[in-house]
Amino acid sequence: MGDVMDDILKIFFEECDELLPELESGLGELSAEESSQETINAIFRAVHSIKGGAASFGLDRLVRFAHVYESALDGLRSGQVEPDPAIIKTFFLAMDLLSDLVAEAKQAGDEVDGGRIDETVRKLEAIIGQGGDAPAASDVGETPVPEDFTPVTVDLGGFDFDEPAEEGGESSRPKLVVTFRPQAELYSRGDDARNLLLGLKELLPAEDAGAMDVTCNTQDLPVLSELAPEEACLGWTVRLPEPPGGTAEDDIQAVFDWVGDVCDFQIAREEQTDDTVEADAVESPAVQEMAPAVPVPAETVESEAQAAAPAAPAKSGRKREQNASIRVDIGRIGMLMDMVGEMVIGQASLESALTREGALYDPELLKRLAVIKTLTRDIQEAVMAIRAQPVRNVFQRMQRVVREASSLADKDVALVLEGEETEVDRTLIENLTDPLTHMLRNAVDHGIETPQARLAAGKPAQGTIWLSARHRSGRILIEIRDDGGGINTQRVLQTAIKRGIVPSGASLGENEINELIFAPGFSTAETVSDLSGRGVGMDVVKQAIQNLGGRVNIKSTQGKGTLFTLSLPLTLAVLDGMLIECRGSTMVVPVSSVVELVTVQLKDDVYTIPDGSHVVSVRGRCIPLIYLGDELTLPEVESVQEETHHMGRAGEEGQLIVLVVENEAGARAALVVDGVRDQAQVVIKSIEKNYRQIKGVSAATILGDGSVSLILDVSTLIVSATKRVDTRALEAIAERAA
Amino acid sequence: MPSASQIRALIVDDQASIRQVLASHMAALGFKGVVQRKDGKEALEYLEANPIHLVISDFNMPGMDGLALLEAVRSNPKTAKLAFIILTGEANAGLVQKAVAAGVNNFLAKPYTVAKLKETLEKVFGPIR
Repeated sequence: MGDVMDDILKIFFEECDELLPELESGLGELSAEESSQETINAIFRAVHSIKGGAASFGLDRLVRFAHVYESALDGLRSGQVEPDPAIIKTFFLAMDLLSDLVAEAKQAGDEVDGGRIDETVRKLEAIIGQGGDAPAASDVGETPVPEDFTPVTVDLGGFDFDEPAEEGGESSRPKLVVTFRPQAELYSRGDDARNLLLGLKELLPAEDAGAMDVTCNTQDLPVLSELAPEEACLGWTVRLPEPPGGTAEDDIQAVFDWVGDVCDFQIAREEQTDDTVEADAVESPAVQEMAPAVPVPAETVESEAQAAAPAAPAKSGRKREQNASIRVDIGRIGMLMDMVGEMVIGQASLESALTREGALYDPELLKRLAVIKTLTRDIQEAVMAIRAQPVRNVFQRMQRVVREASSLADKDVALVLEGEETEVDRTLIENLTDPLTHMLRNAVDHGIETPQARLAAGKPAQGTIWLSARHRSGRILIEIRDDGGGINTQRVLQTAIKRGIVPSGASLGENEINELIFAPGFSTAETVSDLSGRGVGMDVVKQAIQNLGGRVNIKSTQGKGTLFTLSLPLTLAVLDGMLIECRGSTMVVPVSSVVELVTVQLKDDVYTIPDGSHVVSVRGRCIPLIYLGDELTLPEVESVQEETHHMGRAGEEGQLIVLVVENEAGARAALVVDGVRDQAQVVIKSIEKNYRQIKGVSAATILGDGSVSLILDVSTLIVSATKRVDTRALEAIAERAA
Repeated sequence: MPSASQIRALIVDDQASIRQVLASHMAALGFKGVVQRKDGKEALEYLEANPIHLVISDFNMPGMDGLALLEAVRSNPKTAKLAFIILTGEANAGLVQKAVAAGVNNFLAKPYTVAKLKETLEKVFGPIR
């Protein structure tokens, strides 16, 4: 029993995950001038359902709070409470608390502070007070049945508890033959083949009820010693006269609608042609519907038709089509994704083997390989599409972030979401929450002005932040726009000078100044406020976005507002990489961080600075030089003779091939490599999961030739190189070089 | 005096967790083949085609709620006489009054124990074996 309840509890938490967003979007609509009764009902029902479920599992803290919340919402439902902004705000606060209590019950979150509950309860009770005769919040679970109610006994005389008739007579009318075979799942759900037989019987007019002919098919029933008691072995064949009217097949389908996914069945017509026709159900399948036995993990199966029905090839599939979606365990998709990755590698290695053999000159082979290549790419995209999710969940979480931030800062801010349906890979979504949270806190804290300042500037007291997402040329574009004061370039520049980020007297363009807020160690807030000043600056945000293979852009108009644009890849599963050679190893540098590939003269362009490290001058700018082999402490190899062609190689004496890379903080470094081999899409494999974290390496991949290759963590490399090189020395050299 | 296994029961609730808790409690009492539906409309469709002795339904469901289901059941001569129990967790006297007027047989307040469920059922069916 315990296990059963645990499983049901899991279902309850899944329901909560669906109900809480419903509650949130309902409350969001409430803010509008007019709220429909339907919206209010949905809000009420969400809280009510959470309370009801929680009560079944003895989740007391959750139940007690949900009850007060529900009572307050009841006032809204009955029209006794008007949804003014203050009340809506309280409802939002209560929703946040409710969701934290659900997380607590799920043991996915911290224990919720009792004081916070008390305070929210007080606010809700104040609303209940306005509602007049709402019940006291303390009587949780009290039976709301009136004292004088007497249960009504049913008249058992009118009930038919008989077994269904299983003997039938002959009929001259054409007969329908229904053959069905329940799967074990049907029984484990608590359903019964008997219900199906009764359902079929119900289709017949009373005078024909005796004409139903039922045969139990026992051919699959093993001998007793081999009988597995939980296996379903029995099937039934039912012959019933076709009822007058003609829609019999649809009616029969309806009997099986609820069990279609766990019961194979077919309907056939037995024609009364000549006298000795042995009806063969399979030969004349007027309507045939065999639900494929798709194994779905038990915890993801819901008994709702929409969740359970695997896309059945229904000929007359009316209901099935509307609800053709299934829930699949994410682990399975991950596995599929991995296998597709292996397939991409396998296909590439096949191609490289064929190239070696010179077989690719065979046009036939070439054509077939091309087909496989296309298919592989299509499958990869299709699997990615399965894993794609709308950004809605992350975006809606931001409502709470803005709500909390604005209440702490005593500002009035509305968050407007756009393009919530835009889909991105799940891996990316998981990593978007933190940077977005931080940027929105920043927008509230630094972007939006105080209500007084806004009014003085002729703006509405309420500030607005727009958070939008859309696809553009294979990437996702996320914009965070506010109608606040914009970036105060004067102040930013002063601070940057004060912090030694730029030399005093430097003259910078507006854009360059705006970019300064991403510089490490920059913060213009005079006091470290509760909000954004949590020890991390925009540099961390930029770093996080860059780690996702993304870029941040900033545009600001003083007095009008600021716009941040994040451009991100659609997935973290594959990456565009540049394959480089270094001391006999092939490594991958993400193309997104490569600025340029140049050859420099050892004699003219490379400088040694007093501390012994090297810098290189590229286009008049001095950047730290990283000898990749030394940095990664790769063993020295006698110069490798590669017969394959290269895009570049340190062939001539006194020349270096350097790859100029940049992290999103704008810091650059030059990687000295032995050569550049190719540019390719690679499948990212986590090293941390399989081995451990390696400094300077972010992940690994498998190349077409089957060899493992490391993907370089450019940001870390740059940071450690810049730390070594005193930036002031760079400027001195740059001046000298100029 | 019916045995629990003879009573054909239908549970109606929009929440799968609530349905399954009730179904497992009913199984503990000896009920067999309890059918579940997620709103009033689906329940009516099932009742149209299947003989049922007992409906245990939630009040508050999207679409057709428990009260509307009760009224529809009572107004159809085919189903008018079946036992109807409303599952309630709601402090709403008005709805309860309406259900009484519509001819509800009994109420089952959430949360409940197996013993409480048995007691509630026996008040409607008499002692259940």
